[in-house]
Amino acid sequence: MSVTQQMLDGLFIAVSPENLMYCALGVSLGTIVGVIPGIGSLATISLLLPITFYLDPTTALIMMAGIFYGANYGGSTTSILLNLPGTPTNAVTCLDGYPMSRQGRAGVALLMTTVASFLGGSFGILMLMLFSPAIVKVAIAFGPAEYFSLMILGLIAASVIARGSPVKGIAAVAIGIVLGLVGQDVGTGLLRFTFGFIDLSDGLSIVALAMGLFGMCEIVDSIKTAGNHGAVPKVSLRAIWPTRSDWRRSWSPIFRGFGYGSFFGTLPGTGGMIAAFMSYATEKKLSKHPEEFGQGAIEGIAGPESANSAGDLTAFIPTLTLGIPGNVTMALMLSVLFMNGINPGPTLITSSPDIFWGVVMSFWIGNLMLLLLNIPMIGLWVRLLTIPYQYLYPAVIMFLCIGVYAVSNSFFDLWLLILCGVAGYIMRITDIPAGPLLLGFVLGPMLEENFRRAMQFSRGSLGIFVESGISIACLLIAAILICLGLFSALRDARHERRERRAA
Amino acid sequence: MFTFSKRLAGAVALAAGMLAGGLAAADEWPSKPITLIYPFGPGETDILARAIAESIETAVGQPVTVEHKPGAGGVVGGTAAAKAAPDGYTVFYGTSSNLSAVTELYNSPPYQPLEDFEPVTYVGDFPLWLFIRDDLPIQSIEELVAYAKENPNELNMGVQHTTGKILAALFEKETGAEFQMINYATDPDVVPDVLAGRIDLVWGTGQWVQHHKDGTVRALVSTTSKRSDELPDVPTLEEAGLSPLPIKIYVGTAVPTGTPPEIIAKLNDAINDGMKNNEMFQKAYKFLRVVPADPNEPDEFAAIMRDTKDGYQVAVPIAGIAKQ
Repeated sequence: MSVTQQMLDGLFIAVSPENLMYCALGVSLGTIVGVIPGIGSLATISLLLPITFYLDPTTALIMMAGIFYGANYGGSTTSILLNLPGTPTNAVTCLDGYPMSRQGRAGVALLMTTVASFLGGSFGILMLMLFSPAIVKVAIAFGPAEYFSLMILGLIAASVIARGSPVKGIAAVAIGIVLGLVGQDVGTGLLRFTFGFIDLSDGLSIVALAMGLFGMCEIVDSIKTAGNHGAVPKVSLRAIWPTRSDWRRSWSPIFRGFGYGSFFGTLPGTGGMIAAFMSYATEKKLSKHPEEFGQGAIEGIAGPESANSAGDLTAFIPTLTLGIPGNVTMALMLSVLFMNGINPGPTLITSSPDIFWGVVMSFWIGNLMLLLLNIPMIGLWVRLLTIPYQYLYPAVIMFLCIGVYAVSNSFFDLWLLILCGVAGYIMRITDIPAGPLLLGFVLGPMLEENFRRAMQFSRGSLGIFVESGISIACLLIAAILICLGLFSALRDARHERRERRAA
Repeated sequence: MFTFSKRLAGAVALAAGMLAGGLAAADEWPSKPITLIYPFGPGETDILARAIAESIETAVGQPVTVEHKPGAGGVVGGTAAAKAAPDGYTVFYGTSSNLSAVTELYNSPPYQPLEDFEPVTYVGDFPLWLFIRDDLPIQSIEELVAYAKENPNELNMGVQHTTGKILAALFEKETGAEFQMINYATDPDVVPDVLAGRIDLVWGTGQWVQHHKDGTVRALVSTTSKRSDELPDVPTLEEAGLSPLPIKIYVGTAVPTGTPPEIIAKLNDAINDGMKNNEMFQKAYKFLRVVPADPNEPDEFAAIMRDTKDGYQVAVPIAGIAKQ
């Protein structure tokens, strides 16, 4: 049976009434859950896991996958409207999405992220369908040394993200790395920075951190602006459609986002969030108006949203073709297959092509459903902004707390959320950016873990980091970025000196 | 005299009433939903927890919810369960890491498993196998030991979590062979490195049997007491001339100390019944490749908890894991 025939069969399976229904259910649930800050696809999927025991495995997977990539669409909504990431992956969208919303362009931002997500998702599905074997080979070629070099590159890029003082950007990354060290060390099992709190032995909760730094502090900040008006006065529906200039500026970031998403999505352990951050950093570097970033540059949301949607879908590549889950949510989905006696290894495509292609084809349907579902909702979301603060924010805080509590059942995490909110506020006053901190928090531990593992492999020789082409390439690019940064900083300093002399 | 005896009569009546009330409460158990604290994150082995919950529910009629309380290898959940009221409404999903290893890994453990918990039922063991990458020419455990002795520190052994570390260290000590240990946090982290040819050996749980069937790796020896049905060609440690593991990687249920014995007995019956008859239990056993326990009483589980603790006492220093 040819592959095309299998794809067609898969399509027939995907459009069966039962699968269509569960797909629609999955993506709708995913969107809702993405919008609600704190609760993410992981919590939802794990809650629904018992139901999947009674479903056909293909159907179960279709629904769970729908929740997973649907959450992304919803997550950008609150990022844009309230500076509160619906899921940590959407944290980058806050950086430019929220300023856009304050400028009255919330509708435009929402539409652009939906379209970017749709396009990114579609590209991801294409990659999944056509290039899985090749992509997977590249992913496997990444050993600890390559991961390390990639993380270095990522961290350098992270300090580029912030607007304002680069020193503060680097400081933020450093603080993030230190926060990432909290918890049990992989190599020795020793507890670090836990101060006797056993709840910290698995590290700080990223949900609490992201929600606290971005959202909670926004709420704290808003206490200053007393008054009972909404965030933005009534917005006309016509203001939703992006201008021609918006579209023109967004195409390239979206396309570049495809690449980032596909790459980081496939690489186990990384994912949509890192892809989004990298996309943001790239767009900022490539833009002719970098000073606009952080003030409402549309490239800053188009690129990252395309990247993280592509990343979400390419995350299925190692999961379905090798049985390697790139993250915990994927592992959950795999367990459904296992329990039905299906082996999600390299033999899945050949032994159960109906499952593989049924699920993959359903991605197209789900992606389209999300586009059609989200666009009409934009008007609704924008009207949400007109609710006065004193009603909106307590509700948001309530959802935040529910979300943070939902996965861990731990009061400790709630205290952490509040603490991060306060810390976030202090950071805002002192102009230390939150984005780089979050990235440092995620990348730092990976950097350390991979460095030590690489050294174990190399028996103590640092040469392992310059052995493979991938590693050398990443380190080289990182070095170039540092040089460029230094160069431009020196040049700016010289400019300033000259201007001062002239004055 | 008269008033005194009236007061006395009243006191006796009150005491009788309370006693009857206490007994009645035990008879009435359960009168509200029960919580099964599962001290790990979603989707790892939680199907087994759900099976246990279902078994209890079928037997006693009240809904049993699985509450996830992850952290510190099960210790966070254990801390919560140990503090719960011993009224039979909290059951704990205990494993060797949170019921036996706690005192050996922490200097001031948040709870004392043998004192703060009462065992209910022993549910099963997690077997482990030593897997070697398929493209290596080594075919048996004897060959492996011989090769490793000639080429010390050459083969890369992936080590995940405390159990893996202990196993690897004990294996090295027993055979005198030396391997280069490479640390990982979880099982799935090791797989890409095995596929890429960077890792040669790994002590893997049941999930790795899948890879054995795919042909990516080959199992050389198992830690079980008899050969597994799925891999009948793989010898056990004892068959290979090595001493069996001093620690059992077990799963069982426990309740906070002070829970009335009648309730423990009812729970024990419910779970024993489920282990035989409940469909989800069968699925869980199969999927996780857990070796099911025979029907057992709480004392048997207590003995296992104690023996495993002694085993950890010996094994942890050998593995060089620092107490903290």
